[in-house]
Amino acid sequence: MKKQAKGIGIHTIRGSLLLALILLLASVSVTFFIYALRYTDRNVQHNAIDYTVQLIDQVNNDIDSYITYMENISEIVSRNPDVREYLFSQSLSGQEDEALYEKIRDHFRTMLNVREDIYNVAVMAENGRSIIGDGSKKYNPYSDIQNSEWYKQAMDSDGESVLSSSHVQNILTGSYTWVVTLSRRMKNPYNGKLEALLFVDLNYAAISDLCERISLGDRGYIFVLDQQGELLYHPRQQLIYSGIKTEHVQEVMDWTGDYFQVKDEDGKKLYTISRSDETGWTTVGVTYMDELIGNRREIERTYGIVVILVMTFAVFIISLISRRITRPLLVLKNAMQSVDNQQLMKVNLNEMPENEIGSLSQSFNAMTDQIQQLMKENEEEQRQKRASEQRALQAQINPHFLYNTLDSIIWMAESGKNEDVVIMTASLARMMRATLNSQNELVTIEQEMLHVKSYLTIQQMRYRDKLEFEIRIDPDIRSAYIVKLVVQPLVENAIYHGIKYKENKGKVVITGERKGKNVLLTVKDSGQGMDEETLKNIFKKHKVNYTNNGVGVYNVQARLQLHYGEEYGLRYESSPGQGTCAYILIPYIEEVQEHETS
Amino acid sequence: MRHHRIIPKLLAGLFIALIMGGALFLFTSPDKEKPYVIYIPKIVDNSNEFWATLLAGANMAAREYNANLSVMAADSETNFQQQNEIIEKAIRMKPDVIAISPNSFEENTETLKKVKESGIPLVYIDSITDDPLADTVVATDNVEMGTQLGACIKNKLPKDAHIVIMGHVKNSSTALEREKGIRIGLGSDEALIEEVLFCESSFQKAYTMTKELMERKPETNVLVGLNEYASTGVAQAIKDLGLKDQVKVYGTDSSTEQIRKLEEGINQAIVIQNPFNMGYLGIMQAIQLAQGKEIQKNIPVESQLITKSNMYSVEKQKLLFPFIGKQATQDIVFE
Repeated sequence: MKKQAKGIGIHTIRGSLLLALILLLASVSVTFFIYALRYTDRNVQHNAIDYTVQLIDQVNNDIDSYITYMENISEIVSRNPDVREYLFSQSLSGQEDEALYEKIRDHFRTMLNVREDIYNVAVMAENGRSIIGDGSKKYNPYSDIQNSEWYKQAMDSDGESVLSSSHVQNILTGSYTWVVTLSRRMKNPYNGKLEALLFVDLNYAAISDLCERISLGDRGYIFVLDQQGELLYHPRQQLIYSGIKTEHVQEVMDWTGDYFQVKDEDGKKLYTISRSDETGWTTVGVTYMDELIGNRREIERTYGIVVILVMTFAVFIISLISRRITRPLLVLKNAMQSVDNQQLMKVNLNEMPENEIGSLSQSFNAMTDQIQQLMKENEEEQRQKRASEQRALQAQINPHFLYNTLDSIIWMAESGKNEDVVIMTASLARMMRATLNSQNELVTIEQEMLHVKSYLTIQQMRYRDKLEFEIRIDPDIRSAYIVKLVVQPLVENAIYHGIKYKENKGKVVITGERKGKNVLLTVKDSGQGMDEETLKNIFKKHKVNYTNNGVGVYNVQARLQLHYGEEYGLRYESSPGQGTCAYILIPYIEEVQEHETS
Repeated sequence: MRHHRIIPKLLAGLFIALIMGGALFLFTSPDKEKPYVIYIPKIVDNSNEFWATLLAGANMAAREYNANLSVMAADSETNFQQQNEIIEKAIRMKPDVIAISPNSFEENTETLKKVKESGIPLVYIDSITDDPLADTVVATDNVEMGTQLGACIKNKLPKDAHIVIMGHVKNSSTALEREKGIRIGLGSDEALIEEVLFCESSFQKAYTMTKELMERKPETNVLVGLNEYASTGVAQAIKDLGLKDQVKVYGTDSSTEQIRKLEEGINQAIVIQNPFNMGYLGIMQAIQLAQGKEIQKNIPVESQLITKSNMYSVEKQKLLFPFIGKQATQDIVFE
């Protein structure tokens, strides 16, 4: 039988259990992994979008605050009475004019020095009078601002402030600076007409810095659109105007929400939009989605490690539990298999868990116990049967022998051999007693030899000149026990089949000696011996040699082996003309156990 | 029994494979190394608008395509020995790709061969060498540049035109190509070109040569400069001679001087290169080369024709006055 204790074949309960649990676990883990990742993705994305929206709003607010500042400056300048007077008064002397100019210039200088993001402040009247900046740079006579877009816009207005898009300001000689211009027309206080233009230039770098300062990942950027949807600021405006890159300007202008997503050749991008009521400009943040969830790898890794650890641990636990559940089953199965294999005596299930299998095992135990009980009873019955059979056999004294012996006694009595009659009768009496009177199956070798000696004595008196005998038993085995009436049949055999056919005198020698834990008895005759064929068949039942009383070699052998086991018993050695030797091997037993007596 | 035993082993194997596979998947980073690009411009000089703009474009490409960009340059545009040393140093730094604007047409060739020998891809930006070593060349299409200018000249051609071209360096590739382009742009009026002068890329020389020319050939009424120095010299001479209304001046490349002359009406038109795009496309190509992508051998960068009337238009002013934000070149690593 193969050892099955570790079997986790797919067909076993344990195997199926393991498979089912692992599959279940794996699917749960993978589902967890995917959902956790998706959930985290969504969360991260959501947070990132929120964050970007706030960021872009902040940029927009910052831009607004610049514009508000410009507005304030334009307000201050336009209300400045000195400026009005300088531009429109017709009653200024040269000196007053000069002084006023200096005063205003100082004023402008202060404004420009305080905020370096203000590039220029200027007022220009239609009458040709003007103040441009702090006077450190000359007016560029070729500037041709009348034809520039921002100027036209300003002139179209009704005195409210106008904010231009980004453009290059060339009004100062030798300087071409990107600016955003806030302009408003000023009234001539003397006639109430709009006769002058005031403008404040904001250094465009202030806005670009604002946008560049905000980091939207490695590749993200911010751009600003003006009211018309023209690019006011874009870090890639060169590329866009050269047609190398495109920007989703139209989508931004059409979109009313806070953000939208676009997929183009650069990948998935998030457009976050903030519109300013103040300026009408639109600030747009562009974030690359793959950067938004840039640490996705990290998250995947963390979740993956958790899943693997949990799975490994769970598989370990599952295999432990499944073994706990299925091991008793296996033990039970193996126990049942041993019952199949008739090793019933050894099967007894202990240490089983106190569950369904435990009670199953108890029932099994009860069953095997009962079977064992039944088998024991059966065996005992058989034994008793054999014993009674034996007793019946033992009880039989060869009637021919009895008749012949009595005949001899009569004959001796008639011839007046009183002494011989006494010996023979005594011997016969001893034999009769040994055969009939014993309740025990076992006798000491001493007793057995006494019986054999009585028998031989009788036979010797009958075959006076033909039979000689000798009994040599080691004194230390005399008290050992032997199954009774096993030696006499052999001796009888030796006489009737060996010596009887000899012309001259025959001899029977019986010896007994200790052989280690065993006792060896020998019955040796000097008779005619046996051929191989006879020797071979000597133990066969039908070859019972003594038709007269039926207690043959077979019976002796059967009784010896029944009692002592297969390894003990009778053995013959013989060859024609060489005599025969019978060996009885029995264990040396000095004590007779109680249960053997019956 | 035997075939039943295979299944649990298979199962265990599968499970282990799953775990190992998962672990492998999780711990091998799929993020490719950022390509390492070294760019060697002719010079690094923030006061030089052309190179500052080109670098801004280069940096934009490096950021957008996720590359590490290092910039190393010689002290002057003509110092080819130093540039050769820089090339050798760059090779030792084992970049994924080297982009260079060679300072000399001939003297950098030998050193640049070593770049190819060490198996590093090579990109030429703006200028080239006598040996076409580079895997790709990103430069202004000088013929196209000349053609735009030629077409503009033809458009405003005065009656009885006498055209003189002021070249910068005789036989230099840019001068030859630009001249060729002007002739193409002029078409049938090509014959009106009377002379091609060379000022050796010197403002002063261009200035005096123009003055001499106007004395020698006062009938000359169209003057074309082929680079910034030639153009500025010519324009300044015409301004100083007070011939603004008689002579139409056309220039090449933008500078503050050129723009002023354009405003003043001395320059009729100037054709300008696009250094930002050149830098951007150059580094973009370099990165694609480093990533083993197939790229074009030659990437021409378009020029822009600027006239007084369109110089402040929304589109042109952005090209004529490239706005370089503070951070445009801020994160470039200068070695």
